[in-house]
Amino acid sequence: MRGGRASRRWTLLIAAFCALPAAAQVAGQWRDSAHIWRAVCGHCHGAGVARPLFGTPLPPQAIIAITRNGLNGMPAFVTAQLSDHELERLAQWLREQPAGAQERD
Amino acid sequence: MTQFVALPPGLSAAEFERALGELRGLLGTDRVVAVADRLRPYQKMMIPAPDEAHVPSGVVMAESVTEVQGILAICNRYRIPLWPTSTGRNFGYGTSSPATRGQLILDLRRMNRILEVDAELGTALVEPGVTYQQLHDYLSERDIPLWLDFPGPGPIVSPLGNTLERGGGNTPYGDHFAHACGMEVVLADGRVLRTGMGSIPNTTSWQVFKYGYGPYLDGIFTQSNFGVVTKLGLWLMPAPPGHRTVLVQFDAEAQLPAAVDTMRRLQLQRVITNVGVMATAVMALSTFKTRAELYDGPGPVPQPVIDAAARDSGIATWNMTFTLYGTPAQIAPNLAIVTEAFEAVGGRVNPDFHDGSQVNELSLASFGILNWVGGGGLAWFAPVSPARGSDAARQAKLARRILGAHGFDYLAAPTLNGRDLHHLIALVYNRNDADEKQRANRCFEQLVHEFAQHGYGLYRVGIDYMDKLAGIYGSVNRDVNRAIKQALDPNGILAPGKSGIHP
Ligand SMILES: Cc1cc2nc3c(=O)[nH]c(=O)nc-3n(C[C@H](O)[C@H](O)[C@H](O)COP(=O)(O)OP(=O)(O)OC[C@H]3O[C@@H](n4cnc5c(N)ncnc54)[C@H](O)[C@@H]3O)c2cc1C
Repeated sequence: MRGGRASRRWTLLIAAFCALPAAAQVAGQWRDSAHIWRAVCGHCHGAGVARPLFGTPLPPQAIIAITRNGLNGMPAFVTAQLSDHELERLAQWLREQPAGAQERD
Repeated sequence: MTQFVALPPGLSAAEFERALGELRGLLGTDRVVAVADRLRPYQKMMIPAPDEAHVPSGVVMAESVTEVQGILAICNRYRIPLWPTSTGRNFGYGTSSPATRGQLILDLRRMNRILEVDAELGTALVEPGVTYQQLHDYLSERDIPLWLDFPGPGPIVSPLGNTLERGGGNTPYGDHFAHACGMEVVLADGRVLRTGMGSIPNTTSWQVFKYGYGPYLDGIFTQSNFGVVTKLGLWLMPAPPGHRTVLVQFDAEAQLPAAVDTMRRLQLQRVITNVGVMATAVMALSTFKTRAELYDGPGPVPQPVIDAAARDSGIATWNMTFTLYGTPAQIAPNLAIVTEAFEAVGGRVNPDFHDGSQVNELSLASFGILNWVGGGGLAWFAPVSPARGSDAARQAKLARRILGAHGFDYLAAPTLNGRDLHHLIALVYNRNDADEKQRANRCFEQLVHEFAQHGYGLYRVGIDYMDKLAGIYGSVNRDVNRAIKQALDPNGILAPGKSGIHP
């Protein structure tokens, strides 16, 4: 990038906003599984568009494989968006949620 | 040596391996992907295109403009074609897949900073990986009273990616490119262009005035392959003091022209300021019913079956929605005007409808249409038409006939926006059934062809039809695009085939 003053302005702005990661939503930036659920999965699986997943009996490996590669209308979620570790934790978290609980408001 | 799933055209495996080594030197090993199981998620498509024609050779992920420049330098040196994506969720148009086999996907989802939001002016500056959900959360966490306008898959897609496709949503800011202001573009040779007022050092006005000085360039970086867009300015709508979403229903197919003409008039008079979405009965049904629940025979669901199911659920033949925004004192007279106008042409007016997409509520409810037949197949067929009743009726008849002849239902949501109408049709099919996929492909082909014969072109198309659609738009149009391409990207490394533009 050229233009000293312009790039200084950018540096300042960026520095200001780095302190406030605005609910960033890619691998390594998710707060926890509940955050992933609220921002992504719950829009379908907690809203009657796709099957409910709280308390699912699906084995974690199945949840992981389907999330990674997609299935039918469900999109695939790449590692850059959800790391292997985040996905494993999410699969476990889904199994631990009380079945039939209010999934998304 | 790695077993590659596809190679960039003209490169040997050894040369590609060497290039990947350089890319790993730049980005680290995690952000360079070429192994089959890590590439598979990038290959999932909805359109009825042959998968093998669109296999990427790999994926690289940039986290900064400097890294984008470094990637471009390496790709120029090795002549590796690079397919940029923001969140890579171009569903029904090719998702993440490149137009031609062997391109390296440039995944920009990790460049996801919201760089600036000006609450007073209603502007934002975002990077490619920012999603509408992220921006929505940002605004609500800070109580900034600005609304977003988003496409159906809003929570998981990118304002920048969608705007580059000239996509749309359902509020008064529904034409996304019309509400974008200022881009940062990395050109193929690594130079960084800031469009409009952004070219001035220390600019104060990049996100408020689009045109700057001289030719207005932003358009050439949409639906094109002339640069990698790394920042985009957005205009955001001030949250209105109130709103009221109206549903107008028409029971007879013959009422379509009058409905469209009335809507256009009210939009041109600015009584209605957002798009008017007109869902067919099947489109409305598909959001909560499956086809199998209604009918298990071959071919499209028979009209009497649809009519009966629609009646049971309070759905009409045509279901039009729009929203009146403003204070109660503004909404009341406008509601009276629209009620009188639509009732005069036989519409049933329900002034207490709810559609989250018109009032800043993110959801993925529109994914319900993928449950209609199941099997994950969807191709958007999106012809443009004048917002005139006679054209709308002609298109509806044509689409219904062609879809029906291939055994598909008419899932449509013609979207009126003043003078033009985007006749959005979801060709949904079972992608797990090879015959049905072929049938969907042939159907799409016939739709494109026959609509063109009637003088109707698409506003956007999937990766497998880009060349054909560019052909319909004619040779001079193509020559001009190729001349720009050659000037800006002489090695032809950026997204060859995008919009039918080749080096
Ligand atoms: C059920 C359903 C409903 C939908 N509803 C809508 C709707 O209402 N409106 C609508 O517009 N679409 C809709 N879509 C289509 C699509 O999913 C969206 O348009 C989506 O926003 C596009 O994906 P994206 O934002 O991830 O963009 P991307 O996939 O990241 O980008 C789209 C294309 O733009 C180019 N590109 C992207 N980023 C860059 C860059 N930084 N530099 C240069 N070129 C780039 C590439 O060619 C890329 O293929 C719908 C799809 C489905 C399945």
